[in-house]
Amino acid sequence: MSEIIKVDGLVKRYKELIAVDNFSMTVNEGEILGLLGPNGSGKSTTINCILSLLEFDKGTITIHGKEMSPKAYDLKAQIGVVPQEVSVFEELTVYENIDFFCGLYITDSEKRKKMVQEAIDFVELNEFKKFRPKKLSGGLKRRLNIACGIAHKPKIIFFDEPTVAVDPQSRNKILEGIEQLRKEGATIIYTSHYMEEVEQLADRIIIIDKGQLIAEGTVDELKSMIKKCEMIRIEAKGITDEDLDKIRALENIFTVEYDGKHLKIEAGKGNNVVEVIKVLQEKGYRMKNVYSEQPTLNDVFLELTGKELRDD
Amino acid sequence: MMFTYYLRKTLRDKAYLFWSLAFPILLMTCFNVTFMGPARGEVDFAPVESAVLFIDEDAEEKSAFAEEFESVLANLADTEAVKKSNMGYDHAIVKLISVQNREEAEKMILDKDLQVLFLVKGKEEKIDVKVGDSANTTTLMVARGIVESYRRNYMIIKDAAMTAPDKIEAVMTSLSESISVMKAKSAYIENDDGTSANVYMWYFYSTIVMGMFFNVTAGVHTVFDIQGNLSGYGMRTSVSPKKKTQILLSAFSARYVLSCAITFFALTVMNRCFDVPLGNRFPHIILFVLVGNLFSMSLGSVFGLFTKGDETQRDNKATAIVMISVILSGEMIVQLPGLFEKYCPIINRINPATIMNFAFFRLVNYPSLTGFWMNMIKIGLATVLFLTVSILKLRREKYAAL
Repeated sequence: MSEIIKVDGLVKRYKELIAVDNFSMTVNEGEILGLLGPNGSGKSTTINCILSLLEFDKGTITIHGKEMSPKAYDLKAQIGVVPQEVSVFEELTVYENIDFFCGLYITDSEKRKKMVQEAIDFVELNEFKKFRPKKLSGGLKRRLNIACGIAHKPKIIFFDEPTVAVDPQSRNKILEGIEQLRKEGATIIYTSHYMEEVEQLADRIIIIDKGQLIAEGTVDELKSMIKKCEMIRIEAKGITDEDLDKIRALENIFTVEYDGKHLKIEAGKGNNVVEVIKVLQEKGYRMKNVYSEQPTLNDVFLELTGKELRDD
Repeated sequence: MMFTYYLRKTLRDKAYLFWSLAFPILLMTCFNVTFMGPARGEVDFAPVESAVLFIDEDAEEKSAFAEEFESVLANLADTEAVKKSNMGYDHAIVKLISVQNREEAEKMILDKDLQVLFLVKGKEEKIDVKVGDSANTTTLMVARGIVESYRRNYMIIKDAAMTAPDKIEAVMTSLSESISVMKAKSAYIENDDGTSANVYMWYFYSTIVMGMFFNVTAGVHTVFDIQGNLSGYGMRTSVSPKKKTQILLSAFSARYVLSCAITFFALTVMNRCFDVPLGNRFPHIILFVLVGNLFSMSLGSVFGLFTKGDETQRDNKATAIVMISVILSGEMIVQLPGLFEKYCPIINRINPATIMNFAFFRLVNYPSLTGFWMNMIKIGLATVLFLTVSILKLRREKYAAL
């Protein structure tokens, strides 16, 4: 896959505050790149710099090897944006909104008509196309917001938290749609602080905090970066301190907590569940409900930064 | 495409249409009901102290135009003739004062011994009216009514088939109509400084200006539509390959065209439905509407760009300032401009609504256009200033500066 966007040594300051601090990243053609970070981490600032909405202090941004600038109209023509807020005109209908924003890119009215209809079909808003946005539910508005950003069939699409405040049904539709766009050949940059979505969608993830790149890689690569790889939960009564010490002594076991009924173990890489069960079985404990949980991206973030990723 | 959509968007903006169109018409209806009620605002007036001078005439052989005008004035100065006519007055309309020459007349005007001087140019079939400081709006309207009625009816008067009394009657009937309209609808408040304001007309003109000034919201919306740091749709347009100037022109011109159309409609309603005079200087009225709307939209752009808050908050701030300006211009308390003129004239000089009201009032009622032009220049300069500041700010934002 060829490199489509390249950000190199980006620095953006707001007076004393450094919003983006020597940040570099690349986006490959046809991939979905997840940009993860808590609110205020600098991900939106980075995106806005890439889109030339913000002037930055240092660094370079290139798209297809060409420097991005407010006047790089040929590059802008290839980009679609789905902002976090529903950014449509309340006075225009669903169809008119999509037509207006598509018209900023496509001047041929016949071609545009076809594209608008395709976008409406894509987000399944056919029966609502004569509705004004205020008559749509939150989820439908989000779909309209997406349609306005993709109707002109951009090669690069920026999604900024497109599923905020959306019901599960609409969220699934949106995620399916994004997956579909990738299949059709679009390159997608997806920012969110919903880890599950990013984990489900992204081919590659960049974790950003305080304007700095914390980690980069596939989901598995990121998870493998941290020590704690497994959380084991077992329901068993009457485990003695001596047996708990035996468990603690096992290789790759980091912490063991027990409240007389629930055993909670944090472990690293390895065949930990089997080893723990073996110890308990040898001592004749009756076990119920054995769980082994793999680490989440939040665990990755927590271990790398010392704080939770999700703040809501 | 963008122009059409911005136009459509504005046409569907109920709040905008209410404040710019429906509210002013509603207010005009209320004023009409208030001032058209039985005997309301009906005031009488003293005979207008007038003199007539015949320029480029042979003293012995006056032209028919001058001669007939002299007869008309003589009849209007004759209480019995007026009573006999259907004018509805039991006193003379004018009080003729004899003057020997122009110098004497002008001195009398300066000394406030004469209110109106009719300068009749018989060969050119033209009458100029000179009005002194002692003349109030009533005087002015009567003088203008006389001249206009005479001009309108002169062709009939020239008809040799008409008998002399019929000729005079035609003019008096015509004059009666224009005076009765004024009489029924006018209430005059004499200010302390001796000047007067026609309350009825002033309310209407002020309402037209108010409607125009509510277009500040159109200015606010325009900058929100294109600035990436102000709105999501501004961000979308900033990211698009369309040039900012092109989007700005489409958004601005769509709203400007609509704003001007709304003002013309309101003026038509005012004139046709409520019989408020517009005068006959239509090119000047067009200029007044174009400049007024451009001013309010440029003021709105400044509010959109330089104040804080979301679109609604900036809208509200702009509307509040406009409302204050309109109230100070006498929209609700008509005596205010008079009081300011006496105690703090600077307010009248700098308040845009007062400047616009005066401009329109002078345009419709005053023979001279000097005051109108002075006021239009003031508003025009302010517009240029606001537009320059806005464009510089918009251009300076090479990036949308989120």
